[in-house]
Amino acid sequence: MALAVVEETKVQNQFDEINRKLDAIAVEIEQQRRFRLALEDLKDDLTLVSKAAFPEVSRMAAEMERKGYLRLAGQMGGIADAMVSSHSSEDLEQARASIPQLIGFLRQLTRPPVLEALEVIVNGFGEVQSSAQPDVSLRTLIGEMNSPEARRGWGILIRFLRVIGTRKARM
Amino acid sequence: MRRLIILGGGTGGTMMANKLVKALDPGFWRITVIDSSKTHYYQPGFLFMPFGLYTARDVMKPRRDFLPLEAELLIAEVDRIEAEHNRVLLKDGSALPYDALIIATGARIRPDQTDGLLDDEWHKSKFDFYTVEGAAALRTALQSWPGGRLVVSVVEMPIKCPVAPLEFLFLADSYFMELGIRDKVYLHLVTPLPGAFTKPIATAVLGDFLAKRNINITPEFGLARVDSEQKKLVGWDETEIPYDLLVSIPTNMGDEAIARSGLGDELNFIPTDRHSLQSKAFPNIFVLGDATNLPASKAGSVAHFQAEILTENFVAFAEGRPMLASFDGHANCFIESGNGKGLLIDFNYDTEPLPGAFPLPGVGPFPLLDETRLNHYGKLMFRWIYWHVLLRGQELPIGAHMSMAGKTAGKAA
Repeated sequence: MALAVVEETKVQNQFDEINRKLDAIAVEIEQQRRFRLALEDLKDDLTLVSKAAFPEVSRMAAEMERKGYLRLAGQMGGIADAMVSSHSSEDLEQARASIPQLIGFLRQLTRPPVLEALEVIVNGFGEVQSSAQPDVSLRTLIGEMNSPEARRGWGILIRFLRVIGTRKARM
Repeated sequence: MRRLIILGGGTGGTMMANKLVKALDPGFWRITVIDSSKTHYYQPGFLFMPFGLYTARDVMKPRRDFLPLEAELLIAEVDRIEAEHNRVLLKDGSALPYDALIIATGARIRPDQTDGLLDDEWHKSKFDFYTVEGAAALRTALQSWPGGRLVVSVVEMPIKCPVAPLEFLFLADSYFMELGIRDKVYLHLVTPLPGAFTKPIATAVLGDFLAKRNINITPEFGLARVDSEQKKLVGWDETEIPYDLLVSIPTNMGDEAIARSGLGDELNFIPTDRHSLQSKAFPNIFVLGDATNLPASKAGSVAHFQAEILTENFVAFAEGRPMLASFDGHANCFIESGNGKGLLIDFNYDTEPLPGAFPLPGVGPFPLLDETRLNHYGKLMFRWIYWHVLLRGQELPIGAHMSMAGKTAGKAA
């Protein structure tokens, strides 16, 4: 009798264990099903978004192509490759470290008075190129140097040289 | 074993079940969710149905699929809550005792509350888009509508998703434009609010959107009745507004079971502590989502932020600790503005929607109070986030408390 009870308990324990495992399998299957549903929904919504976005993305791509951005982007790899192959990593590191100074320099360069001065120099140079006479006598040259315009230019040049000299002495 | 009953398996109830299953000791707490329907609706999707962007199939899924396996789901009608006796009575006569109760029974439209709204013309010339049936009926009507006066009428506040009537009009504008009949359609918003929205800066921005789209607005209109025969809205001051097609946002009310339980206000919303989300009447009852009487938007995002706060507070309550987490009224909504674009707003009890970038300051990628395509794509992708991230109680990188980071103007007065 006692043996039968022990056997029955053993069988019951085995059934309990099987039930526990079946429950775990059922939970796993349900979780997998939910995961699959989430992926299917993601596919559906991404399709919807890509359909909605396609005309706009297509228009933007056409505009970028027309303006040459895509060609530039295509060249970027080559530019990076040229930089890497013709400079050492130390050079690039130094260039990276110089970026704040370069930006400071650019900031100075783009100040309105500096831009105005650059414009005067460039335009003046253009004017000189188009109007200068190649053969000028020494007498004419001395006479020209004494003109008010040339004297103003000499003044600017000398002041410029003095400023550079002073700054260099401070460095 | 202690029993937590969650009334309502919608947005708030499902999120709470998923969060609390992980946060509470499973050997000590048993969670039961009670809802009258087996179907969970993605309510933000109803807006898209009249314009054919979603079908009914796209906005409904089995409720059970989004609840944790460890929680029991009971499909049953609640008769009432006997809060003094800590039990829920079902309509089949059975009683379920509880140690703690979370009420997330939501809000629903009540066209029966307005004289002349719910009659034979309901879903024929007068529609809603706050139910799957209403949105589907409106879709059918719009497909063969030749044009005329389309009036969107907000009966009274508060309503679920206060920007939805505006979104409907923006989408209608681009829908009729695409059909080539925009010049035959007069779009008109009739609202009890003084402007397009509840907060000044957003009202100015959205009011400008309405004007640019040639959508007319009648503010501060108190609707007394609808005359279906003459097809007109009649105000309390006897002002009349004619329509050919009426899209109504009827009075929103909480669940009738709340009224039967004596737990609600005149609209069946439950007086709730604005910070802890505990019922003001019973310490073992908590409320979230549209069911509260809080001055926060009745929106899914609010339920989401509240769920984070309430999880923390409920665990503290269960362990006998003080509840320190505090809800700040945080709401966050994508607003469809038509033509494949949208806006995003982010605000709370004290701070109105402001311009800026969300969620990362300066970076975004979603601009605030600014119309972009990315915001529209965000709204479309939100459906997946809703089903598989929010409802499942997963953490999002957005905090429950509103952040001023990225917002470009100061606090509103």
